[in-house]
Amino acid sequence: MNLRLALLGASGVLMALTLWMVFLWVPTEASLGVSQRIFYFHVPIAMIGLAAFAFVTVGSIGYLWRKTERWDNLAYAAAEVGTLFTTLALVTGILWNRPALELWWTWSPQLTLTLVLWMIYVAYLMLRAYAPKGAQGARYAAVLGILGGIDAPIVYMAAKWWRDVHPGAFVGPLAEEGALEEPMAIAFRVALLTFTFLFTYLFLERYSLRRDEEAVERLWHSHA
Amino acid sequence: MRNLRSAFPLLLLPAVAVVLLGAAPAQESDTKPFLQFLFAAYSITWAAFFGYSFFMSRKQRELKRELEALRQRLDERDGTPPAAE
Repeated sequence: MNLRLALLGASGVLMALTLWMVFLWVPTEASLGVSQRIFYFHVPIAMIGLAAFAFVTVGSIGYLWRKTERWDNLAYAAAEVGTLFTTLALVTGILWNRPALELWWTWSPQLTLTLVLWMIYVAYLMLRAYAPKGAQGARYAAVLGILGGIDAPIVYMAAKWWRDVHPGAFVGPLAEEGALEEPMAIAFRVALLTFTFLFTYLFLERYSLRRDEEAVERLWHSHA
Repeated sequence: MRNLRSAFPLLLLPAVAVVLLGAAPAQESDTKPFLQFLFAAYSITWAAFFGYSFFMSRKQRELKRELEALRQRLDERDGTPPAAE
């Protein structure tokens, strides 16, 4: 509880700093203008949405291997929060596309693969909602979670493999040297840290809630 | 309820965003029409995070109700009077 509260407090303070940097500190980008400021939300959110699938995959593999609820709960919580982040990455991307490229959507490989990833996330959650409760549903979902884990790195690598209208990677091993001006790079790193804290907080809350839900369900069954 | 209480500091953030948006200097007049997209992106992001926090808080309330019902059922089964609130 204390860790979660600390994470929430840190996210709040960092978010205030991020907003100050984004709106008052970083210079306006020359070609894209003010709409480029969407970047400071869009890119960190998209990156965390991708990273969340690593948790889903790890949780799914752990569940198939160990058959313990803890791993399944980890995968489920990461999938739900990851869906939120990937949905926001798509929405903010669309809102940035319009002023930058004068179109709402383009079937570029990276966008298309992100949409596929989002669909896998949604399919995972639908499977959990409608598949049989218990071990069988968890096993089906774990297989889907592992399949989604294959798509996530391809989304990142798409920036290198199929260069098109979508900008290349700004961070990580594929990032080009000097891709961002120094103030923009600093603001971006602060935004990434902010959303990482926020994701961790939401993930821990959801994990704890999921664990409690499972415990209550078990109690109902044992006393029915 | 615990979630709502702990999420309260986050409620201040949109207010900060609005203040900052209003305070941001208009640097290029030709980019001004694009402000609506910037505003939409930031507002939707915040609305989604608050919506999700609300969803989790509601789930927690439901869970609390279920636990209460379960406790009452156990009390009835054991023949003990329900515990005072």
